[in-house]
Amino acid sequence: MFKVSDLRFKYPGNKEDTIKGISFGFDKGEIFGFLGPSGMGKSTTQKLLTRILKNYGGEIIYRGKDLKSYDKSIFKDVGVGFEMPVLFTKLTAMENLKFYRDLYPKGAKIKPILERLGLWEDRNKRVAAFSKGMKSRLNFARALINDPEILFLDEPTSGLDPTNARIVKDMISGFRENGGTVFLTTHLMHDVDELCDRVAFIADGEIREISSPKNLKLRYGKREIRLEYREGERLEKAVFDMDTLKENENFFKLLRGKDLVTIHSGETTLDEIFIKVTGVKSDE
Amino acid sequence: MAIKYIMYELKKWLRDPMISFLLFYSLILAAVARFGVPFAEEKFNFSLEAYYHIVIAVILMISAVAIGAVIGFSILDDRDDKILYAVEVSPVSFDVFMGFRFAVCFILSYITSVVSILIVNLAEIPLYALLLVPVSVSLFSSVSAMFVNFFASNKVEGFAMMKASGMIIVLPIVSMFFTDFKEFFFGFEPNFWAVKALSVAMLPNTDFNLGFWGYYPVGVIFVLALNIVVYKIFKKKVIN
Ligand SMILES: Nc1ncnc2c1ncn2[C@@H]1O[C@H](COP(=O)(O)OP(=O)(O)O)[C@@H](O)[C@H]1O
Ligand SMILES: [Mg+2]
Repeated sequence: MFKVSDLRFKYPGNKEDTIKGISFGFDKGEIFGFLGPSGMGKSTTQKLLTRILKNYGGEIIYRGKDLKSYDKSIFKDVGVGFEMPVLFTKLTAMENLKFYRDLYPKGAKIKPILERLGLWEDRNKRVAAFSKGMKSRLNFARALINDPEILFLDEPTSGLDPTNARIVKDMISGFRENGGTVFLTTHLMHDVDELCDRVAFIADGEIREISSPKNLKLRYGKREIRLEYREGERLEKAVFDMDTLKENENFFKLLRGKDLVTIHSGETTLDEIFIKVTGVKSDE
Repeated sequence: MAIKYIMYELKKWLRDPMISFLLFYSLILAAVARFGVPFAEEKFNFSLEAYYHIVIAVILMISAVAIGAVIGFSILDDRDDKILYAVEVSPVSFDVFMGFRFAVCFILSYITSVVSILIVNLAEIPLYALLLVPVSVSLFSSVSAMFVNFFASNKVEGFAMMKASGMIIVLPIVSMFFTDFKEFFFGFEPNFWAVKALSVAMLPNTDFNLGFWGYYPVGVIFVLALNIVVYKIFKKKVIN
């Protein structure tokens, strides 16, 4: 659906390119995660794909044609969730959604979306009186207002409590199940693990890794077993290779003879991969 | 679609005390002039009749600047709310979105100016002048709206800019005291031509350099051209 080659972009007035020649693509029906630490160019990339930023180098192909060759009607099938709320603060939630729906030739039903997001009761409140989380949810609803085929979401769960984050994530995977395509920008690994079919890691304007979450975990993980056990007053650790485990007598001795505290296999979390790939380390 | 759009705009204006005040400002001013001018004349036993056309020109231009400020502030609000990003990723173009707004600006400014003049009711104005002069002055309204957005990125700055752009009406007023060739020193001022046309229409016994149809079309063309130039700069400034 999208194919990006050697994309480069520099903000006017900046010395260095913010996006330094990235290439990636994603297909219809996919949730493509675009991950990276803050300030690394995720939002910039989304703005390039949605034509908010224009003077880029390289090529963006959308449905087989150069993105630049389309007129504005391209946007009737596109929903964009921005990193900040793009809402009239003086209008109510309902007035906002109706205003935006009127910009499009086709539209979604407002009631089910607001009900699902827990905003139906507040539909006649002005957005100025909304909390940060309510604004985020309404901003997400806004992205769905034209019943799009492709969604761009910039950190859709940031600032949401776990319950509402859950609802938003369910709505995103529901959108995909109905044939939708999603470009999802985030720095929250929980979102990625649950939602994304494939992910790209971006750091310093370059793509460091593209793969599925599962492959990444296998590739970056270690095939090993780690045990912690009690030795009198002390806590001892032992590590065993998983491939030779069944012939390893020491392992079985420990299992039978010691009081175990923990057992872990060596597959990594996406959090750890994130730190490894992007070079943004928690300590050191 | 158009009607709905105006309803949303109207709601936004009426929910903002400053904008709703500006919306009715020139009507209030006209009502004050209607009763204030005859009252002053009686009290000081002095006729202002020779200056009625100037009073009317002032009210006309204040209508245009006040309605321009309404639209200008409404655009400032939208910029604050980042609405233009969302329009950018919709099938509606920036030009259509803003063009609609400036159309509302013009129509509202026109209605407000004509109604204000009718409220003032100080002197007979020939019908053609009553209907035509406000066209030219109202075309300036969108320039004023864009002007507010050039130099301001929030409403406090916007208010200061509105007062500054209000100063722009002083020059045409001064020009109304000249009827010889010196008046053309004020020709660079966009509203000069319209207020001169108004003067010709209201003072049939005074000698002017040009007739109504000499001044009027120059003003309309001038203000239209100014709109185009200012819009180009405005567009750059507003979308970055
Ligand atoms: N309008 C702008 N002008 C100049 N630099 C910008 C602008 N917007 C973002 N940047 C810079 O570009 C880099 C990437 O920003 P962004 O794409 O927002 O990062 P992310 O979304 O990954 O947090 C940052 O270093 C930021 O300072
Ligand atoms: Mg961002």
